[in-house]
Amino acid sequence: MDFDDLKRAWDDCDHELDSRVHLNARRLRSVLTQNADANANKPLHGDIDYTVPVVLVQKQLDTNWIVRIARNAAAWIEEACRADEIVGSLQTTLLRVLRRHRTLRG
Amino acid sequence: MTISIAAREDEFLNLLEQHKKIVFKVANLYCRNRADFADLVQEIVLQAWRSFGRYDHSRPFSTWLYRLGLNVAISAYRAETRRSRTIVPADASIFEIAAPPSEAADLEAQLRQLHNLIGQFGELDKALVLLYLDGISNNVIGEILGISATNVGTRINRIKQKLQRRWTDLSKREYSHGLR
Repeated sequence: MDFDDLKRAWDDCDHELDSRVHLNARRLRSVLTQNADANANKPLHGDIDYTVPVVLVQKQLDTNWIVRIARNAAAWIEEACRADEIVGSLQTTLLRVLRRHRTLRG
Repeated sequence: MTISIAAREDEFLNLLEQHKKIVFKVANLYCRNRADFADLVQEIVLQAWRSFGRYDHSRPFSTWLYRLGLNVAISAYRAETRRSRTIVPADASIFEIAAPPSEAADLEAQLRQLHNLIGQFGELDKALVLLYLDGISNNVIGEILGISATNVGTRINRIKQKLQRRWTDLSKREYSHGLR
């Protein structure tokens, strides 16, 4: 098998999908009605815009991952040690790391 | 001019009907298992609906939907938990899939093999293979992914070489199993 075989197999499957996949319009309308606030035009998770190019969303996801960890760590330390100073210092350090990460990633 | 919600809904449904295969293929490629498929399809459709007001009608809907679908699928693929997502029962799926005719069994097996091969790639390369196999031009692939057309060409060549090596390894393994 080579890439041309892969392409042929893909095209065969693609034609097959035309006759086999159907939209469940009733179900779909119900989903849209439940989410009638679509006029607000905001993404479901608030902080990610899914309409931008894929690599940009990947960058957002990478950054969000760091922010999530930082927030969790800060909350845990605050709760466990009640050490506001440590939390403040940790947040400053993490923000610095995050800024550096953003600069390095462009 | 203000478009009513009903008119917007009709327009969205029409466009989705014309491009339903994009949602199907993206969800199929990125779902971790069959149970996740309906869930991921609903997530993509919901995000598309929520972002539809920002769709620029002078641009092709397919490009917009590929981009949005891939982004949602990759985000879901990375997510460890699905706290904000609803689990969609299989009988409430947005897609109804007719049973394959018996003569299509070979095709099904071939499709599974294709997915196993493509599934081993990283998030971006997987998207690249999908778009390339769907016959999308390098320029548009670059627009969807956010990389240059030249970069697309280079990556595709590398993927082809990688695939070729995997097939060769697979054939050797099957041959040596046959000898035992």
